[in-house]
Order: sequence, then structure tokens, then C-alpha cells
Amino acid sequence: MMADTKTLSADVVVIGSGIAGGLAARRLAADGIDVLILEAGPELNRGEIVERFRNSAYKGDFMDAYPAAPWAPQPKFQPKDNNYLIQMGPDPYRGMYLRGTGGTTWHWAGQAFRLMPNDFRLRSLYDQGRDWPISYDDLEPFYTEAEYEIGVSGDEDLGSPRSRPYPMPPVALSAELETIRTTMGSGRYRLSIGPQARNSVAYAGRAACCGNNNCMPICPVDAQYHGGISVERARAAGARVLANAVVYRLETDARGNIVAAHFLDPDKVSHRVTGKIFALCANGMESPRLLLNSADAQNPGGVANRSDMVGRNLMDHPGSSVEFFAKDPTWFGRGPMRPASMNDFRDGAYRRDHAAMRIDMACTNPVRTLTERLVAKGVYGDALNQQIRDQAAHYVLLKSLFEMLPDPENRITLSKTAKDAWGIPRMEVHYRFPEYVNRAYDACLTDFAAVAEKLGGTGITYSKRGVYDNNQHITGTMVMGADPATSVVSAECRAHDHANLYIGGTGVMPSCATVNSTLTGTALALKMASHIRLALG
Amino acid sequence: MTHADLSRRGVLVAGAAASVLPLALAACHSAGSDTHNGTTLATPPVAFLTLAQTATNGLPVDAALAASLYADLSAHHPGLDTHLAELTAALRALDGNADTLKTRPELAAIFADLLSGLYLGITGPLAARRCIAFESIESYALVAGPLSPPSYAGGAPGSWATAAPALAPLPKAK
Repeated sequence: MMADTKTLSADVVVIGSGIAGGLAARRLAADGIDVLILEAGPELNRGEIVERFRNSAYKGDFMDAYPAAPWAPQPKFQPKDNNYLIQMGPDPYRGMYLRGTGGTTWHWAGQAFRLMPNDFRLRSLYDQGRDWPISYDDLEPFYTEAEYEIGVSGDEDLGSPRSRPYPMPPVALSAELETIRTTMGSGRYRLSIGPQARNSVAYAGRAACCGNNNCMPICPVDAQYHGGISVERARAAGARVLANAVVYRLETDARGNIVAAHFLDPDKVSHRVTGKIFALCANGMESPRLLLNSADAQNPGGVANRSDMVGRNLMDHPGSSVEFFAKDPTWFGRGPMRPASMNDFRDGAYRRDHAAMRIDMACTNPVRTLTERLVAKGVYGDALNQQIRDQAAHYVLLKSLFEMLPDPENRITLSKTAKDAWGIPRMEVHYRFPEYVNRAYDACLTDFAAVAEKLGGTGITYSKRGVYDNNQHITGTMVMGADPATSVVSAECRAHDHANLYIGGTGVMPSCATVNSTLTGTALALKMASHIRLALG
Repeated sequence: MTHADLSRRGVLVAGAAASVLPLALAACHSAGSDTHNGTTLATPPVAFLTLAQTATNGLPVDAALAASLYADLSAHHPGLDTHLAELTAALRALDGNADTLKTRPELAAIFADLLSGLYLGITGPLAARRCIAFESIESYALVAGPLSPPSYAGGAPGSWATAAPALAPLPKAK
């Protein structure tokens, strides 16, 4: 390994500059704490990303506008798998994330759901998965803080009690979605406006959403919050940010404290960074990778891994979908991409039998996808023009996200032979969709069919059982728990094994429920920051 | 105009705007008026524009899109010009579905790129696609009004809360 050439230091060293690390850093820096953020990837710039998207030949690939730096590779699956993640099966785990300042929320949909209180008690209530060592009430103040930091619009609590109203009123639905909402009525399929990290009005110096319908892969006007904003706010609060710094090892002393993080720069030169406290926020894949790669004589299984839980319990949200053409015009693509969903069956006794679920209206502009299909069939001329118009006007795509359970056999490990270009072991991913998810798929078919019928759907096409898309909600790989023998971090987000190592973000979540994980990961990072503040005195 | 310039502009090309190249005008359009990534593009020959008109049933074709597409197809389909009239005649005889072109692979390959280029702004095989246009493609022009190309706004915040405007009439089927 290369010799260290330079030493840096800070009171708190934050590893990873995604929305979790960025906001935790901002919170700490705002309190006058000396913070250094280390980010493996480059500085990302919105204008350049928009330009790359518009010039991309693979516009359906949300990664294509974000080329990886050679020293910070990232998963990419189009036009073919770049094999950064080594798939060990039996099922694929096509997790995608960005390595660069701001992280993966550059290309999220902005859905900012809270968990529900029962999501924290899955084992106690339904004899499935794990309980959290904290309750909803414990996390609620941090949900609120996160919502006001990033700016969340919404109108109802959706079963997650609130101490304060949403910072902003809801983003309006399109006229066509309002018609659908009326059609769906007030029963099981009641359509709700989802909480979104998207400005319905100007907020925190950023403009209101003007319906560019490009939330993924890039909001061109920053009406949708992303981690790059967190990083800039952290900088403004006094934090230092070092991009292109690939942390590859954590160094411990004889007492088990973390004394340094070692990173490689773009010239493959190694540097050593010391600190009082280390906050690991490099997402649910790269964080456990670093912990496992830090194995030494004192930590033979890796740092923070006395429980052997690092990298295990990998969860995401397997997704199923249905497409059809509604009787009345729908014009998906007007307004933001994920404005509304059916949320009233996210919890219930059924979770003893199958995964929690909800249904999203996936209002992405469908014109490109529909046209690709028609062109591939050789349709042209007037027939093509008519069909593009008719299909685009009536297209409906519903998606359901299913709750995975924390299975220790779903895990990432380090390859013993394959390394990335900077010499760091690549990850092997072991993943299996459980019957718990397959049974949810079966139940969801009934719901999909009912919704399609209400909307007079024709040309109904369901995704296949057992074949699920991935939703980039990487959770569980450094699970939180009360027992150091079975978990990685405590309720304070502190590693059981190392007094000055904290871990924030979605990777510590013991359950993932059926909603997007980002707001919960962000709330956990802010909770982590509050404990770091206390620890520093 | 470069492709990058194209993607930066905030005004959408739709209908018979100045950058749309009607067939009659194209016939006397001087070469070298469009560039792509800094390269001067030749104005497509009338036979190419006639083919495009046949494939789209007479939709207006953006001038820069036509020039970029012709340059791209010329580079990747040797002898393109010798097939233009034959392909046009074949499409006129096929009545809306070009599946039977599979018996003529050289024509089918040109046609696949032509149609994808016009309607999607993309050419080439899956493993090596090329982007030749974005905002000006025919699929987006067809739904202009209700929908804007992704990353462009169709109006002020909340404008989508009013019913989608009506679509412009299509050219009559030929």
C-alpha cells in the first residue's frame, strides 16, 4: 500500500457527502464544531448534469448523466452491467448509487415519507423481522428537523403523527390526476398527495417546482432537494469538504477507538486523517465495504463487526408494476414524477403473512418508452403518430414497493480476488427475494386489477412474479439494535464496538417498511449528529 | 448551431417554426448552415427529406435534426444515398408497418435508425447508441401542449392543475 504523505485532522470526520452526511455535517458545523467531509467522488454540478442528460443516448438510465470517476466506480447496468457489484445470486441486486458530492439524491424522486409507528415494531407486532431499539416518538423530532432542513411539501400525516405541520403546502396534482382521485373515491384505493422534498412554493432560496418532470435523473431547477445542497450548506456553516478522497481503511488504537481514516487521492497517493469522532455516512453499500476492508489483527472481521452483522441484512424495496391505458385521458408526465400514491394499506395484521405495500402513481412522462416500443415494432407514418398520441394520453403506470425483511443471508461481502482500479476489493452481493415478498406480489395483483378496472383500463400488463425492479433504497447493512451481539450500532447510532465511531443514514435501519427510505435515513443522521454533539461536550 | 446549443435553449421547437425545414425550402437550402459538435453538416438531399416525410406522414422535421440524422446515417450506412428512393417507395407500399422490411436487411437497418432518429433522437444498436437530437424529436412534437420534453417546464408552477390543452391536428393520412 502507498505511504501516507499528508495528515489532515478535524474534530469530526464525516465519511460520505450524501444527504445524510451532508446534513449531519451542516448541523455540527452550525454548532461551531470543526468538521471535515471526505467524499470519494468528484464535485457534482447541476448544469453539467442537465447537459449530460439531454445529450445522453441512454436517457432511461438514471446513472448515465453521472459518469463515475476512475477512483470512485459506481454500479451501472445499461447498456450492460459494468460488474462493479458482483452478483452472487440467487436473485439480482441492481442497486444504483452515486459517488460524488451530494450522493444519490441527485437522482431520486423526492418522495419523503416517514415510517409509521408500527414499522418500528415489526417483530413484536407481526413476528417478522426486527424491532428497532427506538420508537417512532424517539425519531419524530428528527423527522421534523429533516423536513424543515430539506423542505418537504405535503398535506396529511398518512398515519405518521406530526409535531409540526409540513413546511410547505402540497404540490398540486395535475387536473387529470385529480379526476383519477375522484374516481378512486375514499375506500382502499384513496389517492393521497405524497410528502415530497419538492418545493410547492419558493423555499430556502430555491424556486417552486415548475413541472419539468425530470426529478429522476436531475431536477434542472433545484426545486427538488438533493444532497449537493446539503454539502453547500455544510460548507457555508464552516465545514471543509474534500472531494475525490476515497477512504479505504479505518485505523483503530489498542482501546478500540478509531484514530484515523486513510484515503487514496486520484493519483493513488494515500493520506491519513485523524479526528476525535468519525461519522460514517457513505451509504448502505460503501460504508460496510469500508468497515469490512478495515479488518486487521485487532478487528479480524472488520471494524464494528464483532457481531458479524456488517454487510448482512441487506434490504431494498422490490417493486412490481402494472401498465394499462385508461378510459379517460391521464397525461402522465404533467407535473412532478411521483406526486400521489395509495397509502391506506401500508400496515396491518397481513404483515404476519406478506410484505407491506403501497401503490404509487408513476407519473413519469411515458412518451419515450411508448415510442421505443412502437418503433421497435416497425410502426411508422400516420399509424405511429396516432398511436403515440393516443397511448401517451391514456397511459397509466402503477408501482408497488414491497417490504423486504432483514435476512442475514442477504449480504455484501468483499471479493477475495476482484478489486477496483484503485486496488480496493469489490463487493459480492448475495440476495434472495423471500416468499414474504412473493406473497405480497400475489396480493398486490388484486389491488392492481381493481384500480385498472375502476379506470376502465385496457391493455393491462403486469410485471412478473419473482422478477422485481430495484428501488435504490439500500438499507440494513449496519443494523441498529440494543444487543451488541446481533447489531452494529446502538440507538444513538454509535458503533457498539468503537466509542467514537458513529454511522448514519439508511444502512442502520432494522426494517425498511414500504416507503422510500431517504427521509428516515436523514432523520437518523440528524439524530446521530445530536449524539455526537453530546459526546463532544 | 451545435447540439449543446440545442439542448441549452429554452424555447421548444414545434410546428412550423423557422428551424423546421419544409421540403420545398430544403431543396434550395444552402449547405453548411448547421453544425453538430463543431462539425459542419451538409444539408440533406431532397431524397432523404422525402423519405423522412414518408416515414412521418408529413410531420414537419426540424432542420438541425434532419441534418444531424442524415450525417449520422451517412456515416453508419455506406451507400445510404443509393437506397433512399427505394426505401421511400417500399414504405409507401407497406401501409404503416415496416415489419416486412426484414426481408431486405440493408433497408431495414437504415429504416430502424431513421425512425429512431426522427422520433427518439437515438441511433445505433443497444450497446452503442448515439444521441443526435433531443427536444426537437417527433414524438415530443406530437404531444406538445399537454407534455413538454423532460427537463423543460410547460408553464408556471402548478400550471398542470388545469386540464391539458388540446393537441394540434395531425397531417392527413397519406
